Amino acid sequence: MEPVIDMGGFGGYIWTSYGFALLCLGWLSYSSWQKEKLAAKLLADLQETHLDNDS
Amino acid sequence: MRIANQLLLPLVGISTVAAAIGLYLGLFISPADYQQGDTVRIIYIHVPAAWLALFGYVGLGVCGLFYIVWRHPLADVAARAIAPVGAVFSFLTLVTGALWGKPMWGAWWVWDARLTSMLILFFFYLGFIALANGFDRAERGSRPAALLALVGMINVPIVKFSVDWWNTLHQPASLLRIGGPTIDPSMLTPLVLMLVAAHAYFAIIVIIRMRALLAERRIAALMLRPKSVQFRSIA
Repeated sequence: MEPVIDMGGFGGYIWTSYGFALLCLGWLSYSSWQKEKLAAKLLADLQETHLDNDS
Repeated sequence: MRIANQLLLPLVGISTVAAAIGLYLGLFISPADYQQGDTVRIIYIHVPAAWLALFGYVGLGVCGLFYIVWRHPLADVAARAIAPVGAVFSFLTLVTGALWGKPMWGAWWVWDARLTSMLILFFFYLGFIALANGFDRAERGSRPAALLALVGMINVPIVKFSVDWWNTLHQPASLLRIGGPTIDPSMLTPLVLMLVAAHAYFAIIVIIRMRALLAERRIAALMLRPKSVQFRSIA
């Protein structure tokens, strides 16, 4: 396990790269998903309100 | 958008499987480089990020062209969806490049042609985002942002060919070059898998963000609706 973590003495650089990538892409995925979820919910609520008003 | 929605699930599958295999091969199976040692493993995240930063900008430029010439509203939506994703990938390229540069060049940053042009690409993305969202009404920012996207296209070949045109610290192209890739198959396989995963991921996020933007536009249209109904009844 130690050679995998150490990576020939460059583990700090390599794992930081992958950790940072995970953080960036994880944040991008979550924020995009949240943005869509919120917009879809608001749209559904608004459409319902408009349908109620129309009827 | 219907086709894009149908593609979403297969893209998630492709991205997950390709990333899982690519990461396993890249981190645990592929050999260390004879000169760079294990630091070469950063390539499996750095190169896909750089490709997507460039690919995304080409997409942004094409959308900008479609918006300026044909005023296609979906081109504006696509550009607005691409820009933050491309910005994240270019930022990731710069950070992983610094983390690779420090042990290999002895510096986190050098004003090298490749690094500097990539930094400029990142600023073009930020400029696009700022312009597209810098107006009280979203559509007012669409045209200037599209123009900036087109202007920034000049930088794309500069990024790509900077390592050939100038004497730089950055290594020359080893994948897309005349004569084929110069990478050993043991390293090329995980790299290609990570490139596939990154492209699929890029498409997934762009589709999700486009759906969100389209929903926001419909919300804006619905919010305006009572006024128009009122106007019609008065008229």
